[in-house]
Amino acid sequence: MSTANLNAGPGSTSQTKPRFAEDALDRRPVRPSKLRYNLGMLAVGIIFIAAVYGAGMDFGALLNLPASIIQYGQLMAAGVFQAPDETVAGYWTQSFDAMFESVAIAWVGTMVGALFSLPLGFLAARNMSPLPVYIVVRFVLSVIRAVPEIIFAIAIMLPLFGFGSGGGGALAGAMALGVSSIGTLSKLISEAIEAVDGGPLESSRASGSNQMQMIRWAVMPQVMPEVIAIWLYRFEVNIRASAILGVLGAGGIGALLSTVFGAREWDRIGIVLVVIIVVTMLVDQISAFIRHRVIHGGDLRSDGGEPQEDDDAGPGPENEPRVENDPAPKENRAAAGL
Amino acid sequence: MVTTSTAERRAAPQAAATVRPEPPRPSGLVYLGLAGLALLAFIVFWVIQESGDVLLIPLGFVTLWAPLNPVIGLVVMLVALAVCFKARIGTMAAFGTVAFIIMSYWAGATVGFTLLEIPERWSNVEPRLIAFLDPNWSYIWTVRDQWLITISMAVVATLIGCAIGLVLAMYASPVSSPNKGTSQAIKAVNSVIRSIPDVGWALLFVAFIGGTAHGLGPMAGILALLMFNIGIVAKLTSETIDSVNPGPVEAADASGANLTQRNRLAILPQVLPGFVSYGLYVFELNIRASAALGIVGVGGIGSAMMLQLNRFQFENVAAILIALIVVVLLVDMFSMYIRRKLL
Repeated sequence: MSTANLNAGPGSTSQTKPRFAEDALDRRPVRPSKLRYNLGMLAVGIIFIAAVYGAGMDFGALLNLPASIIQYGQLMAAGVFQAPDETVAGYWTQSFDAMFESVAIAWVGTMVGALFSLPLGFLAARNMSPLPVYIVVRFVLSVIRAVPEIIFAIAIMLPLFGFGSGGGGALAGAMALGVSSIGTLSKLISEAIEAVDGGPLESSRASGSNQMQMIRWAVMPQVMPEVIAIWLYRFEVNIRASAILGVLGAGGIGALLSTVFGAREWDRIGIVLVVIIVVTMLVDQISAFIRHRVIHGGDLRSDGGEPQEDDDAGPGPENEPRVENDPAPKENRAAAGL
Repeated sequence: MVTTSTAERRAAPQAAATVRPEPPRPSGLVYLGLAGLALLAFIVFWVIQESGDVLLIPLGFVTLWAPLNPVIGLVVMLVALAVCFKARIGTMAAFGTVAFIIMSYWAGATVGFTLLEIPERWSNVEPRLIAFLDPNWSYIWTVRDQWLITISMAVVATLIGCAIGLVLAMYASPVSSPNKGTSQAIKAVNSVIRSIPDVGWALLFVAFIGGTAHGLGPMAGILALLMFNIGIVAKLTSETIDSVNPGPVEAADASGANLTQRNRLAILPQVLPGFVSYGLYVFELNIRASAALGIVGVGGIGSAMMLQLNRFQFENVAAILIALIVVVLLVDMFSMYIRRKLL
């Protein structure tokens, strides 16, 4: 009897003590405390309510919003779908011209940023540059990143190059975008360089190459696809950013937007919005295709399109977040203490 | 110079005993076609060019002339093609090079790219730069109400935008959406939302419900930032959901979870770290954006800045801008702290 009880396992209905003293393994898992989680949610809720009061939102305005969306939406749709006589065709041409000017602004801005970002990226990569240079360059880059592009535009570029579509405003916008692109681009590029595979570096050093040769033959082939993807991504961002500069007087779609909204010509607003959506989506598609092609479909210096044709067919969103999300690299900035 | 050394290095092994594989010679016909493309682009440049600069080529008996800038463009394209051919670069990459040059030429011509005017126009910048270097420090505190509005707008827009963005992302990713049609539809809607720039949304909502002039600036600003945030958060989060570990999802399916339970218990915990960091990233974007959007009449610090700018009081603008840089840096540090605490 006693023997049977002693041998009883955990599943036994017997009331006697188990053979072993209770230890951590016998205890049921304790439900983790939700106190911190609840406190956190409470804090978020309080901040939210405080912010709602702080912003001084007028919720009465929301009541009229659906009605005005429908009303103005109908006006815009009427503008888009009206028969394109001469005036309306002029509106479409004007919108496309302004949008293409925005694309050109973004392209020149990206080029200016790209020109400076590659050398700065190398200087800001820990494995490529000495510590003092690294610290100084990183600091300069983080200052550039903290300054929004409208500041460059207002403070320097617009007075330097002039206002308006015809008067150099486009160039001013492009230069402002270019200068403010340098920060993000160099940072992303330096992270790509830091993540480079060490093998080729070591072997090129072992075969007696100097710093420049090492960069050319060991680093560039590895990072170039990623760098091109980063530049293209920034180009997409710059197209959107050029709109706000246009409102300030830098030409492009922003200038047209503020004109048509100022006049409240809803048919033209509809046309402009459709043009923005079409061109932006088109550019995004092309850019995503090139990025995918550059990263997956054979590298740039060999005509590797055919063998890898099959991986162009894949959905391939896996590679996007790496380039698309700026948040992840910020941890590294924390590590660098900047 | 890089490409010549490529050629040298590729030529060298041929002399050696062991013949190393070398890149195949690219098709000359395709290169000819690319040269034709360059010529076509040259003609287009000629037609659309606005500057009257002309290149004169005296040949003794007759003086040829050609437009200066397109000729430069053509020469650059042909040289690039020649270099690519010499270095045995594939046709696709060569096409990319030519397309890049054409695009750059077009963009440069469209914005009227020139740096020659900088010295003579520098006098316009100097007074502003001096003002910016000598900001009116006492002004910084007088706009604290506007700062409060800006930060509040950013907080509200971030929280609501992230919530809506999460739901949209759940429907947009094929992993977590009820069916493929829903996912495609939501993705299309999302890319339309994303393609309108933030200032476009701001102008729309200001026109819909009235801007600062009617005391409704913050509401319009929050709605604009909301749309802006939904686009970003939904895109990033749905991409994170796409690459989620399928194990827990299968386990949830096997134990009979319905769609909501599966998404809640198998997918949400996996994407939560990414989601939180996207939220913090969007919050930073919102601070910058709401400063910029004040220009078009949504409330906050941007309105104050625009007011001072229109009065040509650059010392005050400089004070606001310096405060803006400090606030952006502080928000950056704050979100870094939160991220390290939470993740």
